[in-house]
Amino acid sequence: MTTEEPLLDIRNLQTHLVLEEGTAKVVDGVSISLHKGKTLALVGESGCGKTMTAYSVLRLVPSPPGRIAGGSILFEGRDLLALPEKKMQDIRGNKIAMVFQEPLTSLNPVFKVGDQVAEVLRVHRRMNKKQALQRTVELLNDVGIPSPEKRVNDYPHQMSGGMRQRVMIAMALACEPRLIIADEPTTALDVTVQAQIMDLFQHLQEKQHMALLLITHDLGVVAEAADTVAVMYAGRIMEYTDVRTIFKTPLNPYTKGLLGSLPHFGSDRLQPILGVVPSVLDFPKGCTFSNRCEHVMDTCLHNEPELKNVNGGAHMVRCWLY
Amino acid sequence: MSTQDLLRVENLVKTFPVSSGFFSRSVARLTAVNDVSFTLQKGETLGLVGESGCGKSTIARLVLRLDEPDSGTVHYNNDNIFSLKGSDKKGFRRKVQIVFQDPFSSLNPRKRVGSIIGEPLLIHKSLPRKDIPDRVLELMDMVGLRKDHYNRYPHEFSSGQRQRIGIARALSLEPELIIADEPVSALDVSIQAQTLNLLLDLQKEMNLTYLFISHDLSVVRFISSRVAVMYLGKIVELASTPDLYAHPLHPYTEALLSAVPVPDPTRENRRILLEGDLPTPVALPKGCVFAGRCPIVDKTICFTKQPPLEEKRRGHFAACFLRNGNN
Repeated sequence: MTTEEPLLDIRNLQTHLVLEEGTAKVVDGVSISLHKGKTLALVGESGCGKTMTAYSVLRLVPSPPGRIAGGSILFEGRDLLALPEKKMQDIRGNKIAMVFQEPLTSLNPVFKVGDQVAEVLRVHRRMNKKQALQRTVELLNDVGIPSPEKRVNDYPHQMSGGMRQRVMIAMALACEPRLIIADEPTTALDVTVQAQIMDLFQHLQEKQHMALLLITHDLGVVAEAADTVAVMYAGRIMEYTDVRTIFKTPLNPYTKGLLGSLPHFGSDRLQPILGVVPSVLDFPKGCTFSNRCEHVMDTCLHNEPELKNVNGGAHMVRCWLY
Repeated sequence: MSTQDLLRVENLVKTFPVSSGFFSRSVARLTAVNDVSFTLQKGETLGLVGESGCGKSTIARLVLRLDEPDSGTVHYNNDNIFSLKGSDKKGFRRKVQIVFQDPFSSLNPRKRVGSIIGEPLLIHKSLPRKDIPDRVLELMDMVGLRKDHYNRYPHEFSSGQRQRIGIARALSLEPELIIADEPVSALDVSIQAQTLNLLLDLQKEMNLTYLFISHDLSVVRFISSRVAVMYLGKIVELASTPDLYAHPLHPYTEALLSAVPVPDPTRENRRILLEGDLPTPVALPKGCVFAGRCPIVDKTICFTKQPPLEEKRRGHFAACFLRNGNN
């Protein structure tokens, strides 16, 4: 890791959902940091809090029932959680952009895609209609849409899933953001299109030195794209280190379980994690993974382990075994 | 072909009308399945892979006789399934079952688990009514559901458990062939692994044959004995699993395999990126379906003639003019 100040530094983030049945701590004490030009992958199964962490960064957590209850999110040294909403609007889509999972539902079906990309430029860059459209054509060209001067007049339904995701990325890139948050950007896409999109991200990162916060459940994508990886479970970070270490010497039993669940060739059976992810309102006492863990000990049932450094610093793990 | 074949699909073609305009006039025909042939032996698992829109699920519907093909035949135990009538047809329905992708929409939300799993038994009258609950409990035990789940509703279950309910329902009539259409795609990776293990165990116990449809190449590799790769309604390659993954012959299979992200950060990635998108199945190209995106296309032949699916080497079929068995 570099000694340079991180671009994004999330410290002890607490995001809660206040529901009738009680308060669900969907993000509980998450601390991660991301440097310029790097990629951090947030990995975990559905309901682990990875999307809520991303929404918290942009302060897009729906409220009610959502509430950011504590912690700080430093972006270029400023705490986003302390900014007034007006200032936050300047950052959203401008310095930090987001790419969502489902490109069909995140584009407005009644506007042409060109106008939707141009809108970002008109709002943040105060361009006039003509300039904005011209820049849009360039952007669509950058993300690999053929004959962009014609495609700007398409409506979202006239495009394929891969093309729509490219439009979303063009929109995210419009203001040359410092950070892109991509929430499962390729999950809805076919594998050959996924390869094209991940290739595009990599290309753009090299060119523009953007940082990428990549949220995904696909460990293959993580292995190929990420520099550092944070494995989340039940709102907490279970393991946090560089990508090679995660795959080579995973320590937390949950990380090991995730890797063991991957179908790999040459084995007759998979070694899945037993049981299911607990509901957000019903996390077990002690370690949140204790009810599914093979190595569970008495202390795991009563005391929650801290996320601590092992192997001399760069490898963080939350487990009583270490 | 041998008489051992449990299922024999020959030259299957299915098109759908594409309608547009005010009166929804049919303006063109979309070719979903384009001259597909394959066989299934008892006890094996044939994986059917391909990207969305390549015709995988249409094949599932045709093999189940939920749709009629434009031409071509499907033989099950040497009977043409499209000419079966009366009790023969009902017998076929009993022996061939499906497990769906979406465990949310494939279970009736207003019925209890016990009656969902028991319903096929009731319809086919294969058991006296009073014996059904015991059989249902036995099935629930087989797929790893608890006895006290019997009276619960689908919404009380997680997606993995719901998929188990769907599997128990498919097994209730002791089928021979199970068509699994993306059965683990909607599941988280740890639950996906549990479900795949369950499918393997059940196959051994009950000597089941699977037609396993998926877009996930690593899942298909894990579970299948043979794999067929589809592109735009056609099978472009068919081979035993180890042979197909280690030595693919068709350039589309190569590109598809190279696109799969590998969970190993030390691996050098040598990716064949395909240009452009899948062409629309409404106006199919005249020559090879893959010619427009093929990295090794030969302009003199690929755009004019359709390559047949030929046996390039023992048990390894591919539809490409430019590749022989030594690749």
